[in-house]
Amino acid sequence: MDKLVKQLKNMRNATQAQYKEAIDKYAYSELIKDLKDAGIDKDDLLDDEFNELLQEKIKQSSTFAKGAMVATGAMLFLELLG
Amino acid sequence: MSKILLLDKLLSQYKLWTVKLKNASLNIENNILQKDSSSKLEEKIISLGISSILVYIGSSIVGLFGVATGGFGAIVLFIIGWLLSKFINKKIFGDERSIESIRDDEKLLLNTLVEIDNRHKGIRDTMNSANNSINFTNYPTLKRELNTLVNLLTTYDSSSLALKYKYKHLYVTNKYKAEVSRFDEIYAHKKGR
Repeated sequence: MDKLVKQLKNMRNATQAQYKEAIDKYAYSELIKDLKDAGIDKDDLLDDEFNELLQEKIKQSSTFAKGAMVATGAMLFLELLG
Repeated sequence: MSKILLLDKLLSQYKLWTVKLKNASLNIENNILQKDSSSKLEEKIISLGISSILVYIGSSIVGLFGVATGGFGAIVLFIIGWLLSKFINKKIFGDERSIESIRDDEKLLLNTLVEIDNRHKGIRDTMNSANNSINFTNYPTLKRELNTLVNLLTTYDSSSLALKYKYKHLYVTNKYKAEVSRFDEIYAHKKGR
């Protein structure tokens, strides 16, 4: 998760869509890694099953990533206020 | 043949279940440690809202007496609102908690979560590595462990948590309970045959 936060912090001029894309990409690769560790091939899962797991992973990743995203644009103003 | 297919299906389901159990455990741990950093953003938005409302109400009340509050007065009201919101936010969102600062019963709960995750990861690894392993054994013991954990979760004293995490604890506990029910469907199905 630290890797993702570091990556997002470096994306200073990125748009909201670019942040989302980075989080989605990170969540996807983490899920594939988890499945591989469990001895499961992605193709053996139904689309619904895979998407459910992916959404959970994206949710977990963005929960932590939002803190890093505070450091951009208008959010920087909010951060400066304390 | 159908029994072999059923076994393959249950083995795949169990492996997938271990991934879901790990997710459910992580959600509980993050909630107890109040790790949701998205709160920072919510906090600031609420702070701005409270401060602005205070400026509006304060200006309106003073305005009733025919005195205009602009500039300095509004800034003072905003600062008061901002400080007030800090106190309110602390109650609602709290701060991230370190492992060292939590109570012993909370440490026990988190340790039990990790132990159960590791136990099932071990079973899964055995399934993946051994060709002729006997699968789905020790159901009563595994079930008892999960029940003990569910009991710890349902009797958990959430008084140390901020409001947001107190309510979320019920949600993450229910998610975990759903995984325990799913364990019965997968693991006991084989056991009963």
